[in-house]
Amino acid sequence: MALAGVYVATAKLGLAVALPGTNATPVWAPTGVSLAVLVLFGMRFWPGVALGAFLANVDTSISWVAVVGITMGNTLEALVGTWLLAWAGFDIGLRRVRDVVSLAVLAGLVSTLVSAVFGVASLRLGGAISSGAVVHVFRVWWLGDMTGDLVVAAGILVVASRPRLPDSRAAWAEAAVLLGSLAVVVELAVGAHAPWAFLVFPWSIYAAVRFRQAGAVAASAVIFTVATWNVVRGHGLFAQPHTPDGLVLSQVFVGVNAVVMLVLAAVTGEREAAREAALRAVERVTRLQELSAQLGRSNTVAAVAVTLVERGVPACGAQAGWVALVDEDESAVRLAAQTGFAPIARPEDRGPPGWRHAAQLAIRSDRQYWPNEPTRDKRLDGGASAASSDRPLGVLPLRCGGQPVGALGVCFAFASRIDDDERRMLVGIADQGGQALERARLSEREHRLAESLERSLLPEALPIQPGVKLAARYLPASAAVGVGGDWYDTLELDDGRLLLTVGDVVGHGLEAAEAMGRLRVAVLAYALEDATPAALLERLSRLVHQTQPRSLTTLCVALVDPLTRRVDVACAGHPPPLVVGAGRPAEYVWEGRGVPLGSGPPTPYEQVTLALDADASIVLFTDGLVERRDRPIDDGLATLATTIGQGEEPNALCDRILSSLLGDIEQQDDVALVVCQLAAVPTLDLRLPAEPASLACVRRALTAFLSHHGVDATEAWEIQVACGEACANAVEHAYQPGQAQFRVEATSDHDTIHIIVCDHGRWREPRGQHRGRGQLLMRELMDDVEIDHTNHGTTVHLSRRRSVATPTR
Amino acid sequence: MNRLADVTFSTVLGVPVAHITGDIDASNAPRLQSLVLDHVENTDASLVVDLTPTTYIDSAGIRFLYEISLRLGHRGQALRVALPANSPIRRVLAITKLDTLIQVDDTPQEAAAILTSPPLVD
Repeated sequence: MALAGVYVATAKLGLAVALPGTNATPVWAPTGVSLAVLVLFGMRFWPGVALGAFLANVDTSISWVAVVGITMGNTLEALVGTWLLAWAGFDIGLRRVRDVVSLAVLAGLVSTLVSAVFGVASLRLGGAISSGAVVHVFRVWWLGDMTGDLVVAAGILVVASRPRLPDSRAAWAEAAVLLGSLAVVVELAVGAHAPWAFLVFPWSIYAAVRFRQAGAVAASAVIFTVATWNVVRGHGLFAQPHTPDGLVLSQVFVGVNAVVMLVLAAVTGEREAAREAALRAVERVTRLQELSAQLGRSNTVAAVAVTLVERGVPACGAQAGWVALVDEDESAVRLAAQTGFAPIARPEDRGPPGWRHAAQLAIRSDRQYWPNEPTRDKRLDGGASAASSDRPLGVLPLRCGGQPVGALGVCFAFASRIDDDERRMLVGIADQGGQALERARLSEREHRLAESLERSLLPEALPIQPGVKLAARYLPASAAVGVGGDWYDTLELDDGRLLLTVGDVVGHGLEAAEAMGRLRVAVLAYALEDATPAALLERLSRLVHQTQPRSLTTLCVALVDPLTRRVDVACAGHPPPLVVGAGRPAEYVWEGRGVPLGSGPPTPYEQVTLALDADASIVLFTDGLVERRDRPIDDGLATLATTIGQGEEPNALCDRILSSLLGDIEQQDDVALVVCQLAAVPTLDLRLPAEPASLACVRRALTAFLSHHGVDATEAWEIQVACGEACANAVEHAYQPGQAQFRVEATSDHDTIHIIVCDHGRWREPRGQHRGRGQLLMRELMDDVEIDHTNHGTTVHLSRRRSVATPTR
Repeated sequence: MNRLADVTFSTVLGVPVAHITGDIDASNAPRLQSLVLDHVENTDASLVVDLTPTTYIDSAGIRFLYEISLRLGHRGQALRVALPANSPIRRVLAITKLDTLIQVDDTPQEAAAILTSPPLVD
């Protein structure tokens, strides 16, 4: 009804200047109104057009036949025009030249023919015009409708398409001045009787180029109004004795002007758009390259996810995004990274709304989808609306080896829709993301494998040696670098000496870990034959030269004698060990050094013998501890030297060294660290497993203790045997050989050695002929023997006065 | 890898000699016992256990010597132990009265010589 009302109103204006008695008018805005309405709102509004045309004509002087014919013609004209434009792929914004040409030719020239033919034919049939007037009336009718399409329809459609408007106050002022001066110029050009109409062109060209479609239609409106007004007043260039004849001239002028301006606006806009598209393309390529580079550096799954949201989401022009990944055991989908979403208060709700559902849909269906798009997959609709809250959204599966393992979701906050370039970009990003995920998963898997291999090759337990406190650490490099070939090892020799090795096979990954395993076994095998560090390194260099000529290994070997506190050290290209003695600053051992294993033909190595103070420590380590990309190795060595204090318990020292040198940074290299403290043995306190192998440990410890207190050899030997008997009892009486422990303490006052052996077993009275010998030996060899039995265990006190009281060394 | 004691065998004047190097305690006495007994042939008339290179012995070691002497006795074979006169092990043998059961000589040669010399005829 509204359409019909507008139609009638505009029609009456047109009819006011019609050819007398014909209803054929050169100014027929209703054609433009009805075309625009049907294009914008759909062809189903045709009854409004029909009603309007009927009402506009019914009360005029023409016959019923003519009214019906004109109504049919006008309605068909709008329908045909709309249909032709839809067929041509018309866009209402008139931003492309083809849209302008479609409007001018298909609607302006072709569809208006329908109306003109019907109108003129029905007027002739109704007897309103003579056959001689047909051509003239037809021309007026056709041109009138054409102007309606070119000026009115173009104006309505452009306004409806929300054209680019002036973007500043100055631009608005400029537009106002332009239109005002245009009105004056048109008035001057058209109002004069001289043919100065061309004066209008500079203004219309300026309007179209500067303000595009909006400028073109506004200028058209001004020209149309002023020109028509002049003709109606019978004034100026186009004025004719009969007003309609003058209007025909002015409408041609207005129509041609409108088409020229719209084409100009479209050409300018298209060139501008092409330039912007080219710039955007360059920017996209740049962003995509940055993304690729960053993804290439992301070696963990978590880093890939973060890179995708932090780089990939802005790269495709989106404002927010997330990455969800399927766990490697495929049990659940979890949010790996997100950006651009407001934080949500409750932690259990963390994550963009609806991400889980959207991600699961994309992963399960293994296809991308674009909710909030005009053509969306109905099956995916539920997840889409939940996920999007009206913002355009893209959800793409991330594929690893062809299998969807996650999803990338992006939200566009401002764009009204996702354009094809953004879509292609997103697909590219998702592809790259999938490949990066695949690489990261492989590298994480290899890292885990190498790390477990490496750990399985390290010693399970450190030897318990009297007079020696040992602590060791191995820290693998971060997953981003790959596990290295560092190791440490300890070997107890039959004579009570202890071999410490710390080595580093150059390289990372499984290969390094495997080479390390071979070399570690070789060190042990050679050391059993001859543990002298220099001899060991020489044999190893021969082995490496023969079997692994392309591998490079650095190694530090220290042979420690806990009783004499002498340490033989040799290094093959390895960072020097650090020695911390009593009351002296820590010092590196810069002697006994040779080339790395594998760096050339086998060579002899040198070693240095150190005599350490009581309570001194020797620290062996690999370069990962002191060398960092952001810190020269000398600085690392200096820091390490100042970190170490004398007399600190080795385990605590290890922890302190690691925390002060490595801190929380992600490790670039793996680290092996061994701290060996050579305690004087003023008192003895051992806790050992209740098994026969522990007896030898007690003897070594007691030897060191007795030698420290200057007990002579025979006396020491006898104390050794008595204590051995007490310990053998403890071992024999233990309930559970696997877990039980016994304890040995030895102290010395000025003339007496005291030994206490406790266990948690039940004492058994000696039975049989062999059983009494142990007690017999204890009582014969010691001055005093006390055996206390309780339900919780047995404690044996042994003491022996020394024949010669020697002051403690 | 970390053996406390080892046994090596030799023959002195036709008598098999077991040299025991290292410590004898509860952890290795049973193994040493079977090593030594396995080496003695039924046809051998006697055995010398050489404790000269032995660095430690406790009651498990005493029991080891006692068991060897018992088994050889059952087979009619004689046993002598070689120990230097100043060895602290002699004290252990004395305390446990093993020296009343087993003859102790200063060296393996001495022991072998006694074992191979013709019996004195009263």
